[in-house]
Amino acid sequence: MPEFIQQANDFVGNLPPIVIVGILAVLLLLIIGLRSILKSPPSRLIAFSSDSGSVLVSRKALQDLIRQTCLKDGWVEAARPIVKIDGEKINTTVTLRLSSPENLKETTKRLQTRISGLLQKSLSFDQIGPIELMVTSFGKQDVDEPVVLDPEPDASADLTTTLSPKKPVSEDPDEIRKTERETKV
Amino acid sequence: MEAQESTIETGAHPEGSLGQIKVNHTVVSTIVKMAAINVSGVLAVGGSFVENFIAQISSKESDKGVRVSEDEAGNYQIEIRVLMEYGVELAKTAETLQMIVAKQVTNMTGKPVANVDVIIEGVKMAEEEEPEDNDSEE
Repeated sequence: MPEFIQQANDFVGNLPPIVIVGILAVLLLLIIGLRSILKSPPSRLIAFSSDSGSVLVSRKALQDLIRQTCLKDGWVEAARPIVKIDGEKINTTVTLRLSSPENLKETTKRLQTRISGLLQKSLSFDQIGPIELMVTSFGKQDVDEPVVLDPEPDASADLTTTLSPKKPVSEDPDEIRKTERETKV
Repeated sequence: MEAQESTIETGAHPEGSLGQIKVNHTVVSTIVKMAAINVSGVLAVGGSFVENFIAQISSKESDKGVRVSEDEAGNYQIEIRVLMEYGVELAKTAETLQMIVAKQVTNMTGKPVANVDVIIEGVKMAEEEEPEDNDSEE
């Protein structure tokens, strides 16, 4: 055992001072980083405060709330909200995957209104910041539950096609999708 | 090592003839938990992953999600972390939770509650009843 200590001592003694300083600096930074991660309180927003106590909402709760709201919409396949608490204001960005590119504008507007309304109603937030919705992709329609256009002959005329979450009349969903794209073009 | 006072005297006259009655904070946190989960809209009581992990290490399982302390006057200060059900009005539910917890703790311990801080840690859909699986996988 003393030999081992002696060897370690020699090894450290042979190291150039700059390396020792570097190792110590890295260790120090690691400790500071870990401490700040463990010590820093998770970002929370004060919904309201009174004599009987205060109600705080965590960022995760807000994200859960927004995600569930988005997923309630029939056209949303996936939602990934990011809430940033900036002082007493929240900035929300939601990345969405919609089931179909149809009704994009209506869907996003509807979601914006719902999210805003829900935050105001549930939490009495006066300072709700911007709610940005980013549609990044359109999901593949499952064969089990396809989302297809109603076969309306006049739908292409005014370009306001109606979407319906019904099952297709035709048995081949690929064929229906192809027809839809052609109709849209 | 710093000895933390984890009990609080109850009753308006602690100098009673039969001695003092003290309630451990763990007992209070259990009362808080039981009161909280009976509030409509509250799904669970619990802190974040890190806090729960620390609580498990420190073998304070019953304190998970609830922090009890007392102010200078000896009144309880309670902090509770909850998971709420999607669809309920969070602010209203939290207010109800504050009232019920304060009332229950005061009723059971005889000591007033100074404040109840509610931290909503998450929102979840209430678990739906699992449909009966009639399909045989053959």
